[in-house]
Amino acid sequence: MISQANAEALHRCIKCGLCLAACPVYKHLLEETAAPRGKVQLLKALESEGLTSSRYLEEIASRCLLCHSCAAVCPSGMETGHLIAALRAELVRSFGLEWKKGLAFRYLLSPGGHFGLALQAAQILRSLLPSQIKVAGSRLSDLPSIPLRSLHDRLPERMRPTRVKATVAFFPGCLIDNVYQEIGRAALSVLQAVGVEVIIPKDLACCGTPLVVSGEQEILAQNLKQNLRLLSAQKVDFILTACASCGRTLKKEYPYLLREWGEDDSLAVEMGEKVQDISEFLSNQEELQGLLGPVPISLTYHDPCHLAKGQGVRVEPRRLLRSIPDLAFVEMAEADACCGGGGSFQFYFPETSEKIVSAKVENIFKTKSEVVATGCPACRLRLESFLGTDHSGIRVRHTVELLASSIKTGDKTR
Amino acid sequence: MLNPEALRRLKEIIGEERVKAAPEDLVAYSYDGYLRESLPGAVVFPQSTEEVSAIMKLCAGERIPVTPRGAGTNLSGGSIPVPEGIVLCLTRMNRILEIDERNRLAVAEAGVINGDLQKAVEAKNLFYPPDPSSQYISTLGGNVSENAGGLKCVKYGTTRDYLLALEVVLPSGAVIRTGSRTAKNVTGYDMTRLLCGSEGTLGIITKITVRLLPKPEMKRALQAIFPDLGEAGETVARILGAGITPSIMEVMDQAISGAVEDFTHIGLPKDAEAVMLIEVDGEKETVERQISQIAQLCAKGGATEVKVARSDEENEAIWLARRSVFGALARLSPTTFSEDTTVPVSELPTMLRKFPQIAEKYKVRIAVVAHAGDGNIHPCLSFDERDQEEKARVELAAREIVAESLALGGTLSGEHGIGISKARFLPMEFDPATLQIMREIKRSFDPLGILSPNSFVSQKLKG
Repeated sequence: MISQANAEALHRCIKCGLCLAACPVYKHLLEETAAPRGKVQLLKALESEGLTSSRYLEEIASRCLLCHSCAAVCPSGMETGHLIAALRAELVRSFGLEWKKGLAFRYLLSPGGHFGLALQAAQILRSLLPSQIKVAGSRLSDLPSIPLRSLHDRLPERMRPTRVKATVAFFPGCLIDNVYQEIGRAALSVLQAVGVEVIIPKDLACCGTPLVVSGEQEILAQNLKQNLRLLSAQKVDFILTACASCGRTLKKEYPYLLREWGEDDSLAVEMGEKVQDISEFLSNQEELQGLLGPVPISLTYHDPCHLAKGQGVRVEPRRLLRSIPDLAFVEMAEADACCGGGGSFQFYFPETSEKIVSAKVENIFKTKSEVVATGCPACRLRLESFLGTDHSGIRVRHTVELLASSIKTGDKTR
Repeated sequence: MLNPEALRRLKEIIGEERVKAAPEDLVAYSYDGYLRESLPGAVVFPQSTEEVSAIMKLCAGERIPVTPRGAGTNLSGGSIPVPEGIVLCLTRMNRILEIDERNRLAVAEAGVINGDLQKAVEAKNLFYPPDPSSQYISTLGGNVSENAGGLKCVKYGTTRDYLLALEVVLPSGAVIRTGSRTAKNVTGYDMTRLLCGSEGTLGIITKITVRLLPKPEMKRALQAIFPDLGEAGETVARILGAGITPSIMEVMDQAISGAVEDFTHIGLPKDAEAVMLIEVDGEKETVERQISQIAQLCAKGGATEVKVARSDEENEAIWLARRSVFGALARLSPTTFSEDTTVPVSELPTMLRKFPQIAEKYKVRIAVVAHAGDGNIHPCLSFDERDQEEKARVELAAREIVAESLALGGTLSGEHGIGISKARFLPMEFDPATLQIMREIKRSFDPLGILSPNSFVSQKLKG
């Protein structure tokens, strides 16, 4: 049974169909079962016992990127993503979690899990495999190489600039901690430059996004509570992240999930108010402008779903990028269209996912930019592997990496 | 339930993969944008006219009811199926076949999304005006079947005014072609116009040829605040009377603009009875002259505040209010039902003044948004569907709205269609002889009565 609150929410759907226009999956499959409205109606039928759990329903429920594009256009203000996650959780209760996922979550993503270690092992293994092998449509050679030690392991827990005007906690997230460490390093260097002290608390767990979208709730509860305890204990002005999905989950999912479980959400609400995406925080740091040196490149920006639709952060990254001297900013068509990654979606539905990313890549090409900036390491992974296969030479970078380069050239010219 | 033999033969015709009959598929095709729901026996996704024809031949032979459907945004319930029948879903017939710049026309399959056609023709500096609120998802086939309108009808008319030719599969499976690629055509009955707005009762539209216009050079919007709703209505008539035809003229009453303000915080007053939104498009000089004329007429008509957009961004800001209406209303009440009554433009002020009286009489909430320029009014009745007593009062109020607008020379529906939602009101508008000839037209197209079982000519499901 889903919660009372979600059961009530189901009845707010007026079946207008506007979510179909926003759904990247519906756009390619053109079937109501692929659409958010269809899934809401199916959950409603399941609740009223007009329908029973089935493997087919499980497949339908998994045909969603949880990009939250539907929620962003819903006239009734429904959090359709919550309902689809609730449907998945319901199906996990009926059928259990797929064994591969169950195993992976327990050993890799739980508190103290070995996500980093597993990736490092994969990196060693990969050097033994031919580079033409494909994973979810990406050639092995187009996937990023993995550092052999995590970022938080390499850094001190507390980093103080000479003049401190604010203190923040930085939540690196699994991908930045273990794969794209350069994003984390860039974020730290920019924060240092504007006089912000940074703490990376030890023992942070995965934020839980992969668990939320899979309908797994047991390990999710452990991760949530551990992170909430560690982050709430910090005496900081803000909690920052450079990962769109981590940011959305910390801000919006934690309080929602606690309410769903009938638990007190006050601590999570309080913590959520402190969470900001790095671009939100930096766009309010006035002294940043004076530090920026020229970066003479042409650049376009891809809105990560979990940043634009999930957190409403659209203006800030653009403002930051446009403030870099000599940088030619070109807006692409449908900049907020999904990259088609959607966590395990790309593995389960490679064909649909590839169609979605191909449309995105085409819009990037049309801008004739040298760099595409974005605010999410998962989007970067997806875009990099597909831009890579075309050998277009377009690089994918996080907004904060460009700011770090700009500060570096600024330093030289001063 | 569909008999297994029929299901097997459907799969033979279009392949297993495009015939769906699992309980999950049936639930997902049991509704459109209206309140009611009913499961079909199966859902089929043809990809060509030949496939549609073969399906219809089978269904005619087996007497299987067929409900054609596009994106399912129908507001009057005509795309809701019956358990012994099938849903024939046209979303996969979605190719734009031709954009002919010299003859200014486009040919598209029925499943093409309105907004996709608009985008494609705009890239060639052409313009397809019909713009229902569902434009980014509703299909052209659905638009033609419902004769969809939208915001720009005061100047540009409805879907009907852009139709040149249709390809239609009859319930027997026979394929007919109506109209031509020419601007003029008086050969035989005007079947194109008969099929437009026929709500899927006569045939399945598979291919559509539409007329296009050159894209207007520019557009400008204006927002005017009126202390009195009737005065706003009078101003509409005065603007049209002055020989100006704006592309859009919308009026929102106090309940709507208040709800929009609560939802968007864009600075609309909450004490004014009406907010009017107007847009003019065309050549630069004309647009600028007309928008200042309109501003003067609004001021003369008692507007306390008139704001003219100076840029495209300011245009967008003005339209944000209108685009938020649906959302604001949906948040007000568990169930909101939008009526679609339409009166001659000169009677608009009279009709607008009736709503508060009707709301008072039946103790119901009525919020009004109107495509004022064409007399099409959407009084939105909000209620809790689970409250039977309230529901009964809403029904009485709806009936009175219909009666009042008919008395003013109006009509039941301007753009949403009759379907099952308003079928019970039909005898109020048509005399028995008119209703009879409509039934006979239906019979000559569909003698077996298998097409669109839930429609204004036959309702299995009551509205």
